[in-house]
Amino acid sequence: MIDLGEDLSAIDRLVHEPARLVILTALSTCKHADFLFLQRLTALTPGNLSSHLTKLEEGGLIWIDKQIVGKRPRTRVGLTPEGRDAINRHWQQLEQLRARAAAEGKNSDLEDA
Amino acid sequence: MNELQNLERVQYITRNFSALQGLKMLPFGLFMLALAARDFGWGFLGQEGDCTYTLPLFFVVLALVYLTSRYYDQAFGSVKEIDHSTSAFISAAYLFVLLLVIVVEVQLNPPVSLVALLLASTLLFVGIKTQRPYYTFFALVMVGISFLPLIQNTSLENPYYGSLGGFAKLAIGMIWIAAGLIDHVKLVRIIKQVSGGVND
Repeated sequence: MIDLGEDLSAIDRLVHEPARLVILTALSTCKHADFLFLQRLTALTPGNLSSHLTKLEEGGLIWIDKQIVGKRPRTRVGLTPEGRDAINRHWQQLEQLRARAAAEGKNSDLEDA
Repeated sequence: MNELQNLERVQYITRNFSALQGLKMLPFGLFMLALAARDFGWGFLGQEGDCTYTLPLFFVVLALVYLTSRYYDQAFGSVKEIDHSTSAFISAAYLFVLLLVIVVEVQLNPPVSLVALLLASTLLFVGIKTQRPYYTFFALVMVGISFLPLIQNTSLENPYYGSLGGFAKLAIGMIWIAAGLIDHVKLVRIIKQVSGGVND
């Protein structure tokens, strides 16, 4: 039997790493981006970025399309529907955290007054 | 909260990636400056209505825009925007409306330039949509330019020719160049901030 809670936390671990979160956030606001764009955004080495992308692909969150255009390799990366759900969920959690932090800040201001 | 701010920057840069490729505007800006110089009577590019130099120069401008596009592809990579086809359709429709307004303006010589007002509202809209507040300033300059025909109200001559026309083209060229440079600096700066945030 599948443990949904464990699956979600595994996805969260996959999503929450800073470089991967940046990659997924970038991909969530476009159809697809190429390897170089993601590399410029994360400032990772090609090897490191490839490793992160492979993990995300294995987790079913992104698709990778490798082509040769004019004798040069071109790698395009996009989000799968599962990846889009995962990053949206993560954003909702971040927004809730932000709202909670703002509410707590307001409460402590009232207590001080 | 820094993480959230960094992620918002990532969203911004990806969503507005093509809009922030400001160096693409430079060839158009320089072309407008060349046309302004001609209107000021500096003899550069021949006389008004003479396309011997302006047409080849326009093709040079298009070639430069293509090269700048390649520069961005090779230096920053590429992004396919979600509403890519919608944007292309809106751009085509906008160009059609712009041409229509130019024709109306040339025919009717209204006291306030409709073309400049259209450009001003475009700058304002684009600036608000893509969170580039400096476009508001450029829009205000364009509103100022729209009143140029009033200065020349004794003549029905098209205000976009002659020295007033030169002034309008000079201002438009300067706006394109300034906006392009600021956009490019913004692109580079935000990418640096984002990558710095990832590796902190």
